[in-house]
Amino acid sequence: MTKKANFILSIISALILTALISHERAFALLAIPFLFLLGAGLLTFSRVGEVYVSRTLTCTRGKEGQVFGMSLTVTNTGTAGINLGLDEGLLPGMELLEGRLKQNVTLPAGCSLVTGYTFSAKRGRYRWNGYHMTRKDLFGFIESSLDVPAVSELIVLPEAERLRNPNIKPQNTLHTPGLNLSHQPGTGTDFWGVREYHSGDSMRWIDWRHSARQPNKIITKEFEREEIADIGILLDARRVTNRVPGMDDLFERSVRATLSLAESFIRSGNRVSLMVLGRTLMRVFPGSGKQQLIRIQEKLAACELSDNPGLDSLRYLPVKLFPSRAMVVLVSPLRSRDAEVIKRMHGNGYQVIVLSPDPLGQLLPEDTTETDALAFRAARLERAVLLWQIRRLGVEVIDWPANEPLQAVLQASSPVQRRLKRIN
Amino acid sequence: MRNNKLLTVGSHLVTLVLVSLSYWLIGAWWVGLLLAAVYLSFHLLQKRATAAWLNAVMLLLCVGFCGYGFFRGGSRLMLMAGAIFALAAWEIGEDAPTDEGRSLSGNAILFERKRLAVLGIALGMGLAVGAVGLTVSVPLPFFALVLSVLIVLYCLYRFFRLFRVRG
Repeated sequence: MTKKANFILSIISALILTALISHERAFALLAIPFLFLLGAGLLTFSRVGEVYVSRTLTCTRGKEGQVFGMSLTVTNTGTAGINLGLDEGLLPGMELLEGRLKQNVTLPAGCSLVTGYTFSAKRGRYRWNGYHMTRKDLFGFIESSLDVPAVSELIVLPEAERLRNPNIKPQNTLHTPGLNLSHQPGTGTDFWGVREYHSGDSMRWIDWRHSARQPNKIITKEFEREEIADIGILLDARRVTNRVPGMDDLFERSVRATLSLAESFIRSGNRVSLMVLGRTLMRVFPGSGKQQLIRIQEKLAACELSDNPGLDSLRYLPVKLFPSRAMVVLVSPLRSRDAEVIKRMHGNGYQVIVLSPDPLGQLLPEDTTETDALAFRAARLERAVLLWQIRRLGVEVIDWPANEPLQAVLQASSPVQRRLKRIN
Repeated sequence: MRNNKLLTVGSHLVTLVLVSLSYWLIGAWWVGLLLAAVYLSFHLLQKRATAAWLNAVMLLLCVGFCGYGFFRGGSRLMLMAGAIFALAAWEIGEDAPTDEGRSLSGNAILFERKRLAVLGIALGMGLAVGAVGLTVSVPLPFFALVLSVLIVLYCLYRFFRLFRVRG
């Protein structure tokens, strides 16, 4: 019996007790309506009844900001009617837009009820295992919990910024046609040089000017071969680097940047892999094409910040997890001890590019004390020195301020500038 | 549901009128004003902070006022009716569907209608039995009294079983 029933019973007991003590039968008679109410509730409670629930989502994959619909069909498959309290709790990250999550319904035998609601959700993976209901009487005096299996899953993908020409060039390429300049002659669109004409070369590329100066020789143009490259993206999901007071969306920015870069590289035909440093090492093995992009999207949708003490420093990260001579893009706000692993990766032949969202921001809040201002200044200096140390290794570093879009930051500097930028 | 809110307020008003009238008839007219003031403060409190215990406290206060009226010699029937309406108001307000902007499904409306119907019948029968008990005084032997109570309980049991949801 519920607290409500106990409350009514207490009133009945108090009235009867008062009647006995005061010899005033009006108190005992006043208890009768309370008794009748309690009895009516107990008698309308149905102990039998089988319920089946099916759950349907309007789509199982979507993006942040999209509106999703959930439809629930509750069917009474028993031989007797049943009163139910329906209670669907929202999962963390969801926001109800329309519809009811809680309601009391009467379901005759063999009848179905269709109910639903619309919601929006943040990036993540949402899974429903069952549906919680309460078998109850009309007044809530008796309740019996009922959890019926109703499985469904939703993946909300992060929003990606479409990058046009991200200005990140891999130095090493694979011998497969693509869009990256390979620094070798072959078929392409960028002019490479001239050479003597060989039988089988296309007549269209004969350099007539050069040929006119060379008696008995025909000179043909050569172009720079365009190939695909192996690109690995390493996303830092450690809580120690991403939890900054006043910047709740630092990690989300990193996730969106990772997806934007992955999309851009895959669109160019490159072979892309992903590694997320979180509770465990989450990997997407190298691949290309739309399927690879879907795998990366799903992995990024599910990744969360984690407190793994073993990964507080990247010192123990095995650096040979990417294909040899691949370009590795590290997306991380960085900590002071991370320079060491970047150095190791660079030493192992990887072309390392660091995209670092600035965790400090440029402006201090208005109510900052002098001590806080000094601490902020020290933190900025520490970060500047760290970036300079990494650049000194010959690694490209892209310092990404909080208030600027990624496209603008990537376009603003060339690879050479990123390697040579001094401390300001 | 808007109807539920109207019913709750209406029941409270009826309670206020019945109890005030009963006290006024015995010369304690100030009790009616006191009860009105209590109702008003609870109503204002409920608007600011929805707390489940407020409804319960209001019911206890109403029953307390009615009980005190019994001792002071007020009209027992009116006071009993006032307490019953207070009980009705408590029950209607307790499980009222929230989120009034969102429409209820047909099954939810069916549930609400059944609830109000059974509530009305249970409290109506309670009032009728109570009124009979107040007006009629029949000396019965103890055994006959117990048997009558059992018969009444059995009849009520059979009657309320009709309101179980049918297949």
